[in-house]
Amino acid sequence: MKLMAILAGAVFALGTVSAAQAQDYPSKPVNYIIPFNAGGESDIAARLQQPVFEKLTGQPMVVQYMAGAGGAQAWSQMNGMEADGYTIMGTNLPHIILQPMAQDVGYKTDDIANVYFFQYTPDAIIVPKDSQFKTLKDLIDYAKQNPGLVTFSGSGTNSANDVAKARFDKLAEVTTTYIPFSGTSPATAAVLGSQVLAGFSYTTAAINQGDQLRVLAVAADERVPSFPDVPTFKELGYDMVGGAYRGIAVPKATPDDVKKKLSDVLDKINHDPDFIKKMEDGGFVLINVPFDQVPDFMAKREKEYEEAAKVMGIAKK
Amino acid sequence: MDKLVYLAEALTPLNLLLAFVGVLAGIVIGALPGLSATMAVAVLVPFTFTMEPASGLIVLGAIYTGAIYGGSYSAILVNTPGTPSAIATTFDGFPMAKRGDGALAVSLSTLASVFGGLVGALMLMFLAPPLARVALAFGPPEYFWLAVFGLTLISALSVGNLMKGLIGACFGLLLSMVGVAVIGADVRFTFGSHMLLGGIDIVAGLIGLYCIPVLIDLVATRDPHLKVEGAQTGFRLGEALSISWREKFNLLRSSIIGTLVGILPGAGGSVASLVSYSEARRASRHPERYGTGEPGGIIATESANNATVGGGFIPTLVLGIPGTPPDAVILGALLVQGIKIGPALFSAQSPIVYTFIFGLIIGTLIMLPVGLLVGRYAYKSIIAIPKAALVPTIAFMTVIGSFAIHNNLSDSAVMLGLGAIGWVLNRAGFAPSPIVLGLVLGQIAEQGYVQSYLIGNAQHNVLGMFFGRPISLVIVAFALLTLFYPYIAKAIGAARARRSRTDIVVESRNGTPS
Amino acid sequence: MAHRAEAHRSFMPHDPAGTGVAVLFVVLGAFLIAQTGGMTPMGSVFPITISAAMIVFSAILILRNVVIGLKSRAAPGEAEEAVRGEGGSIVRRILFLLMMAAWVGLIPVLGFFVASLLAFLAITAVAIHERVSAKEVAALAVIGLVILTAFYLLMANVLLIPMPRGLFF
Repeated sequence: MKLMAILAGAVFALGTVSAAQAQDYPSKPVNYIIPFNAGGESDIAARLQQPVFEKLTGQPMVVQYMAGAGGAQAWSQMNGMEADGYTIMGTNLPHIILQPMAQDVGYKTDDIANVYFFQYTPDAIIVPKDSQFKTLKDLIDYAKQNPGLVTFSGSGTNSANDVAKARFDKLAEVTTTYIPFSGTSPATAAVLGSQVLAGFSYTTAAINQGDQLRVLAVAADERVPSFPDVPTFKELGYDMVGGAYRGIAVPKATPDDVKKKLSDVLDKINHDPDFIKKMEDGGFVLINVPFDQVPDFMAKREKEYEEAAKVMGIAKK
Repeated sequence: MDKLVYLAEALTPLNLLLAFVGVLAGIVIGALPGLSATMAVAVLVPFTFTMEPASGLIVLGAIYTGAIYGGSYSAILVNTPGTPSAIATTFDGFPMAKRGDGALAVSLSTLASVFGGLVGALMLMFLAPPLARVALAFGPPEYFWLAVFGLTLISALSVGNLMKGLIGACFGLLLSMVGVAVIGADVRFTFGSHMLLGGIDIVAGLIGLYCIPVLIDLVATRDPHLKVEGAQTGFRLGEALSISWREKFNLLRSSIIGTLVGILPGAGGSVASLVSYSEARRASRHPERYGTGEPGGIIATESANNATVGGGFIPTLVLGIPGTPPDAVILGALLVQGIKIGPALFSAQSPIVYTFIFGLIIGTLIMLPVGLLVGRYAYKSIIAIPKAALVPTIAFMTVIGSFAIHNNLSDSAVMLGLGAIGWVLNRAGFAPSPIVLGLVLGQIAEQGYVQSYLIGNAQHNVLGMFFGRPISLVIVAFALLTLFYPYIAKAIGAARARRSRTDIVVESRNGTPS
Repeated sequence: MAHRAEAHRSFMPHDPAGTGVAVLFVVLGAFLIAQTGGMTPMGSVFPITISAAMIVFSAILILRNVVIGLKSRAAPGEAEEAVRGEGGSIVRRILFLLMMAAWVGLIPVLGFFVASLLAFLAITAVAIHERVSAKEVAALAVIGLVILTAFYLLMANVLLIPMPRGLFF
């Protein structure tokens, strides 16, 4: 009996401790680890979140980088980090679904405790401004007459761009050739220099090239504010919505109420008018997927990417 | 000269101070292997948000320039390139330092860096839009041939034993393939280790292959690290100036090569300096002296790598495509500040752009006095520190430097492993440079090759992809020329017969030149 | 180059170290080619080509060394690598490598600063060749401590690098 009482007391004490932690979270600087190099979409979004976070919580948010193996280096180490809510990490879809699916990368999709998904960059088909393709229909017609001849540049194999190309081929019933590059920049340069006929990219990348590029279609639910004249795939009759989704995760052992609190802060950031404007100007599309909706959101995405993975022939282990 | 208006804007006391501090911080960070220009720039980005956009850009540009230049210190003084851009600086810089000419080498590197930086910045100011189109004309086959061109340098670096050089290069190329492949996503040669999934980082490889063998031999003997008897520790600026004047064509050619290669996204400073080194050696009247402490080698690499700073900004500012990783960070900083980037930047936001370019020029000029002073101090302290303290200090740098690349200790382990392998290979006569060349150029060569093949295959014209493009053919011609130039030169020399016989100089990067 | 064992030159195989390493490279190349079995054509074309090239070059080197060895006397003009780092203490070399390995291995256990301090002092000891007074030892220790602290602060607080912690910091 005595033992039980002690145990109960201990559990109670632990409970209050973590509650206290959550209440004044954050009470010190938060380290925000970006699993990629500085200068990418993840970094830019983090840089935009940074000042709003400080304004809302009064605590600094310190952006750090831990790049390697397309993010896998950092994600495989995340659960070994301090689980107190002061170490948070950017996560990306489809990376955290496709990477463990294709090979053993040191973590499983379920190992990653996502707290909030806050934005995505829709897939977009880009062509150089003097391209023969004025509309998506031009491109599809050409691809149907010349199977395999249309070359799409994109960033990496088994990436969001690769998935988009595979889904596009299936929906439009065409055969095209995907040319992987080592990043968004060289892939875009290949389009600008007409080394390839077209490219799969993101709205964020397309926005930087201004009138040098023509965007044929965007894989968003509705037209993207920064590209008001570009139709969505849906409008053109292809049910394709997707891109690279970005969220924030914490080490798995982080108490749930801290996760909840973090999710609340991130949600507030996502509703900050100045933040919204800057993100939209940059070509990002904001989504609000708070902590309690994450499992649902992930389940949906996993199903989507599993289908794409089947098309692409990624081994399911 | 309507652009001169912006010079006045760049010349405010605050901006001058910022440029000074930026250059100084950049030099220090660049001189430490593993702490890169990208890191320095990324750390500073949040601070620039509180500044005027132009001031923020000036400090970022200054740090970047300083860091690329700072990489030459460690290359010259401890045989470890501080940044990959300074790989070729070790070829002649360290032999010079070993024989007591370290101060001269640092002065030469400073002059060349300033000159190269200015050429790059001026080309950015006056020729950016047309040059940006050059970047776009470079497709996968051109990148492939450019990497092959870089690899032809092996024949020059392994005089006396070409086979060992070629084997080393193959080993380096295989090292570059470790990890998840960009094309095909195969997991290659990781032997089940998660540590190697991200591949072997070039910087970790550099530190390991160049620095660890030096340290190993340093602990084993009583000899001092650098020879000091009779060494002049002054600036030796006059001597450096006269050598630079003698090498003026080399200086100009290397700066232009540096700018042009810098424009190509993904090629960067390491390729630029290797290519210009190779060209300088070919054009030199004494190619056999390269690799044994020839001032021309330092001039070629250092002017080329600083010229890539200006060159890299050309696609960044004109096309919105970052030429180098630090450019990507700066581009991100612009975006966060709410500046619209892309082709419109050059026309619509010209005040900021031109103020920035003038800032870059000012930063480069400030590098001259700052660099000479810091360099002299660095040289003196390397000589002054007792060996028992120097060895662990450099060892500490190798550990933190390799750790700091990705904040990951497995890079340190890879660095040390490669260092031990490199030392063993070195004892068997396999020099580190061909291995490093393979490691640096492997990814560019492989991606260029496979992409060219895929595109050619889609267009049913694979041969045309590789051999039917004018720029490719020019690069191939240069590669062949470099490869066979020693034989051609020999033939010419034999025909003349009167030329005095030159001694064969064996590449001996760790020994004193014979 | 004259310091190669001259007395035995005519009976010595030519460049035994180089030949040995070349044999290892042949084995490595064959092993790596065997590894490419499960890869896509895109991912395996380069590794196979380069491995094959490495095997061929190594074979040529071995052959050349054997032929030169059989001819017994290498031509005096034959350019030959100077064997580097001859002389000096092999024990110190190995000790140094062991210290470095221990350093990297101990960081996650002890924390960055503490592990580095221990390794720094250990390597200092390996690098000392002369007899040193207690005063000099103290001076070296202080130099080490100052350098380490300065860098630790630079990295952790200025460059914002997450430093590995272990039992200590």
